[in-house]
Amino acid sequence: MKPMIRHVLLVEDSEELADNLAEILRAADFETKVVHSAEQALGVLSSQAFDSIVSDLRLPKKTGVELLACLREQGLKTPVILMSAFADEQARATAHRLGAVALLDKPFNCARLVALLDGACSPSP
Amino acid sequence: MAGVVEDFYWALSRDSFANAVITGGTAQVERLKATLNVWVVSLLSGPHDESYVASRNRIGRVHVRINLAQEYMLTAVNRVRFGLLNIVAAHLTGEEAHQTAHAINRALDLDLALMLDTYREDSATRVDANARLAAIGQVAASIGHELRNPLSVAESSVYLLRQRLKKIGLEDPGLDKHSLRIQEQLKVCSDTITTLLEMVRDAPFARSQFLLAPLLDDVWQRTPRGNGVALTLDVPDTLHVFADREQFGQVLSNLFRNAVEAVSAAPLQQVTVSARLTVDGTEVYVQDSGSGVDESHRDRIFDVLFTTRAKGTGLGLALCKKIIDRHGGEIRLEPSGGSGARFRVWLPTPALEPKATPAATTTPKAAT
Repeated sequence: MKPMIRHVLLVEDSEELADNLAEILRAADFETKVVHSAEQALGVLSSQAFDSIVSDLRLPKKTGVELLACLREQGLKTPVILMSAFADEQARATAHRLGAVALLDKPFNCARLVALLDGACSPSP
Repeated sequence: MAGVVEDFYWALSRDSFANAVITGGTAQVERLKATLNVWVVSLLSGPHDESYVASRNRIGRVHVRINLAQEYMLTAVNRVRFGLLNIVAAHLTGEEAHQTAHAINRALDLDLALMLDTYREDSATRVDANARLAAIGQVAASIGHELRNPLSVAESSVYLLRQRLKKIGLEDPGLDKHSLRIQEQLKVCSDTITTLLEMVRDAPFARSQFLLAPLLDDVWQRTPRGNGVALTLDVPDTLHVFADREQFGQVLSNLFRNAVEAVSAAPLQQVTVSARLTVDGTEVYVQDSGSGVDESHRDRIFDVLFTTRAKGTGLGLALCKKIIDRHGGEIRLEPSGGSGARFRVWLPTPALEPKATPAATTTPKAAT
């Protein structure tokens, strides 16, 4: 049986980190699309479905949490994993309330990100 | 005289702040009464020497520590003044009464001045430390934030490198050792930033009552150490503490790390932890068999960025102090009784629910 292709949208404004993470995700068999802002992410999401989204918290305009809020408003239930260099309590609480899978503090263990994505992308029973 | 002391604690028992602070019940009140009695007796009989001044300074410091407003000190001394002058009026007459009252007033004024002086001095030190922390905090938060992104890039690059090495099947102990070492050192950088940010972050603070021994055990298991280091635990199984478990664990973790490091080059590698219930809280002692703290450093070890170790950040004990202060507790380095350093951490028992009466003069801190 052909394994199901898992699509991940990566939202990260640091080019080096986006590049590294995309390489790690692709090596772990995730079809990865990279964008650099929440606005770009929303644009892509309007025409394409993803199994999971990995997003930085601090982005050029809208934040990762705001992106998550937009998705939920649109009724999109896509699992979201947030990454942050330093999240304040408020961002943490909002992320949790909006049902983010996790908020990873940078720098994080890359194997953990892969494991979280494996869980998030598995088809729900 | 006993009447003056009784009256004082009768007045105190009607005060909401005093009720919130004095949590040790009748036993503590009796102990405090004895202290007040000693105070009044020494006030009247002297000798008014250097140790007398030191004892008044100590009284001032204790009241600063429990955040007692200065007005209380004035009111309290006046209550005693009133009681003593009443005794004079009841037993003496004429010139003798006048002179005795005058002497009592002068002695009380001097006492008050001595107590309030240390009060001011200690408050000023606290304000300085807070201002310094706030300034460091601003810088630390922005540097920490900026460094975490590049660290994240480095971390993911090492991860990719190691994966690639595995993939091409290249077995080179040198490559393996050094890539691992980069990973470890990135972790050290990241942990330092985390500690720094913890210093300035007002982490959510949720206290609960829990057993101390399992936490000590847990923290010790996670403390990096050589094989030779032995831990002696003298903690009653049923002993509870009232604290934020995670933050108190962080305090213990820092003390354990320091202790382990202190004994690493010592002939005897022993860390001893003991704990017991006191009238008003729980005290925990962490002692090591190292060479102890240099006398000239004793006053500064809790200062931010103060360190004597090549690899130290000067943040560990400062963070411990911040956390314990937040608990209304106390952390200090005990006088060295022989070898090694001995830290005492004291946490108060849960305060009685402050009574919400209209007469309350202080706003109780938000319940946690």
